[in-house]
Amino acid sequence: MPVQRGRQTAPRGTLRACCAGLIFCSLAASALGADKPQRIASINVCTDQLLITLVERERIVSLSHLAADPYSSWIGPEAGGFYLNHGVAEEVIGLDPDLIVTVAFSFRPTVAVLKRLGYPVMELEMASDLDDIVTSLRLLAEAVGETDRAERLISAFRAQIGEHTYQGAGPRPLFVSYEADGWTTGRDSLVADVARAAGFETLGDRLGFSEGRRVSLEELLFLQPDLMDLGHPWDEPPALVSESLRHPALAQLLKRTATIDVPDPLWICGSTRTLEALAMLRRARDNLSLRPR
Amino acid sequence: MRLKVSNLTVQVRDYRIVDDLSLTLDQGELVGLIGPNGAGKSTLLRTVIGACRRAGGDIIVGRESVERMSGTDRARALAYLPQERHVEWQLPARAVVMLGRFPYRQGFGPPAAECEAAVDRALNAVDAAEFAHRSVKSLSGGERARVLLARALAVEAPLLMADEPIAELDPYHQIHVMEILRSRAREGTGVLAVLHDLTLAARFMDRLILMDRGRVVAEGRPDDVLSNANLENVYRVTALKETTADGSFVLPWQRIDRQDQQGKLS
Amino acid sequence: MTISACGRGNERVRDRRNHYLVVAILGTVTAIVFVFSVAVGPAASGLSGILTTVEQTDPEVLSLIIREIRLPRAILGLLIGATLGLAGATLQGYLRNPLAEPGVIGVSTAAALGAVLAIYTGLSLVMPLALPLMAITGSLVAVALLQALAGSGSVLTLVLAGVAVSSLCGAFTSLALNLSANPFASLEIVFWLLGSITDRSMTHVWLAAPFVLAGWALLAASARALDALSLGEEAAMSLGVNVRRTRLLVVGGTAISVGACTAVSGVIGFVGLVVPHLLRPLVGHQPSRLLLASALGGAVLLLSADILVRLIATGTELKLGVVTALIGGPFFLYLILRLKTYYGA
Repeated sequence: MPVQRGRQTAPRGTLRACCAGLIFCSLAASALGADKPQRIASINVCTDQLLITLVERERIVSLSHLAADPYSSWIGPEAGGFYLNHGVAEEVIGLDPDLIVTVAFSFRPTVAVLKRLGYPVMELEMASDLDDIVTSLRLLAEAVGETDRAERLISAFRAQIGEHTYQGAGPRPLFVSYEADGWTTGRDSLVADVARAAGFETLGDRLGFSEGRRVSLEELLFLQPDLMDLGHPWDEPPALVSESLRHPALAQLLKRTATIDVPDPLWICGSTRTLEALAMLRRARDNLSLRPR
Repeated sequence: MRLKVSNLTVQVRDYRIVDDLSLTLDQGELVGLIGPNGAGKSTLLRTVIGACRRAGGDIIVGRESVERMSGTDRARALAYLPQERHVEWQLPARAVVMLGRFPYRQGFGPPAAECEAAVDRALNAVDAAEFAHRSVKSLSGGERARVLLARALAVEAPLLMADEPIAELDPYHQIHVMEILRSRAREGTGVLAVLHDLTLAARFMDRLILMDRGRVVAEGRPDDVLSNANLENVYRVTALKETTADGSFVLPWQRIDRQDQQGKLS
Repeated sequence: MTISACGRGNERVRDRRNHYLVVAILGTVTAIVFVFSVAVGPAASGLSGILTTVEQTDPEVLSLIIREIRLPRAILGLLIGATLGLAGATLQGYLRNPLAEPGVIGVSTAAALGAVLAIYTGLSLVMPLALPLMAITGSLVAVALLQALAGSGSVLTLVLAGVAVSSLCGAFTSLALNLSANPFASLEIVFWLLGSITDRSMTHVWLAAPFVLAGWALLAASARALDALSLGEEAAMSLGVNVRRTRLLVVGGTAISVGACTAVSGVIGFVGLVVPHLLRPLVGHQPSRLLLASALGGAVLLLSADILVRLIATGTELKLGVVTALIGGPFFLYLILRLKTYYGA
């Protein structure tokens, strides 16, 4: 979901560890001695994906409405069997959940109400690199009581990351994710981490910015990327953003640049399927002949 | 060139502001249009220049009906000085007077020598030459009134209509403006001026037209029109009148409070 | 006391020469700023070296950038700035109101509403001309509303009516964007209400230019009448001005040119307010002369603001309307205060 993509404001290092620790402790304190939660509700598209990876369907009582949106979540048609919520407190309470999972800093009023009413709420951080995916999986596994399964998934995950990671040295080709209205991700984003693992350099690395920002067509033309991912055009129904993708200069640029279409759901949210994005990029890296400079 | 208004009627909803009115104005005469507030004097002038819509009657300037004349032709035949004294921009006085030559100018080029000469004449006529370069907004009320009069004079039209040209002027400038109008009339322009000052009307005008409720109720020499009966019936005042060696004056003195005014005049 | 024709004549010649000088200077500055606009690229952080790497860049790429990105942007800056300045000067002359300009009286916001309806309903995809046409329709509706609300009221009545029309149209624009199923629509309100000419293409130029030029022709045709209107409507009529025709020219010209500009750039305000005011003393306060000067001045102002937008590096784009509002907003306040003391209101 484009709006959420720009909000990757994960604090780094010790702060994050403290947050994670705090969340874990508060959960442990409230759930100490309880059985595994049987009625888990997720109100965020990212936690939907993590949840469905770790927990059997019967224990999930609701997923967010974006789970069914093929442009936001890879769950897609599978989401049909679940009740899809819109993150409204009344709705969630009506489901009588024993655990609610979401991403930190989204749905803040809703989360505040739920906490005040005594519901256990688990807030995970948005993954801003591949390691974060592992951390999130572990934290969620603790809360839902599937630690063994999580560890199995994690070791497979790490192994495959190792396989696909580019080991070579030398100048790296430039990968640019150019979304609606020229939005591109920063250095400290999951997309950038995946691109780096696949052997690319991103705009954030080249120009040195950590948060997502707008890049103008002109800058793109000067920088001459080697690979571009245009993302979903978002032109149904039409809006201004659709126009920006029809700019003649962009059309010219695309004639001379390789493009790739990595489905957004694979890497907007970190999940085990983010591997597929890495695999795609790595394949593109191998196919790319570096333009002579 | 003669202005001939025949059976003019101007109506707003059900009310007739001007009611079947006829008058003429010839070149060379100075005519005063007088009457109480709301008599329809300003509306009459505005209808002649085309700002108000006629419900009936004719307005003929020269030989042509006003509606068959082009705006430019009518502008060249009939100059108009409205009541409104406001000039929005800080134009120099001379530029304001030059606007009087609008009907003779086309395009954006500099004004012809002919126009500059006409403006000079107009400025001289009102004695405004010395402050012609100053912004019109920086002038005093009297100076501005003279500049606006010069603007109307600059048209050099055979006919001139002025709506309350001496309102808000001090006595010096009131007399000055009346003198300018009279000399203009003597030079061959037909001048129609709306006035409230009855003494000045009596003193300067060749002919007076007294209006009340959209109709002409009296017309003729000032002495005849400003009879006591008319003053009582139309203006609802009694006046002190005196004729001295230098001239006569008419001074409204007292209001008459009467219930049913029928306005029947002798 | 008579005037010496010779003495005054010199003054008049000097005055005329001053005017030509003012226009020539403005024209030159416009050309310079235009060239500068084409030469300047975005100086985002880390790219400040871009201007110096121009020699190393593939000339084909450079030509593409200039042809498809910078040139349309500069042309639009010129067209829109000139339109706003010209429309502002014409409106002020016609309404005899120093606070009038398309933004203040709500014409621009109404045009934006028309444009939004054209784009977000998909109409402009089917028929590209629907975009400027619906924007122009919006402007015309706004003017009709203004006439009904303010008619021939005072200076401040018109401004109040303009605020009402502007708020109403802004509200409907927000509604339309909010109701759109496209997730970006609500965010795009920033473009529509704050204005921008970033990354526009020659398509937009071709879409807007014919209407803009037509509007200019109508506005220019009203110029002489504006001079006569300084004396008031009645005096102007007595001088042969066809007031109804003048109103059609002014209203039509403004709606068409401002409508077309807003369709491609969103609402940009205050240019038509500031520029005529600053330039009026330089043209001897004459409304007809002010038109050309304001057009050039408006172009200079907008092109400069657009250059500023590119030189100030921010992650998200600084909108053009923000810069003009930062200049024009305080100016507007100053004008109102001065007007208050002037009219003693």
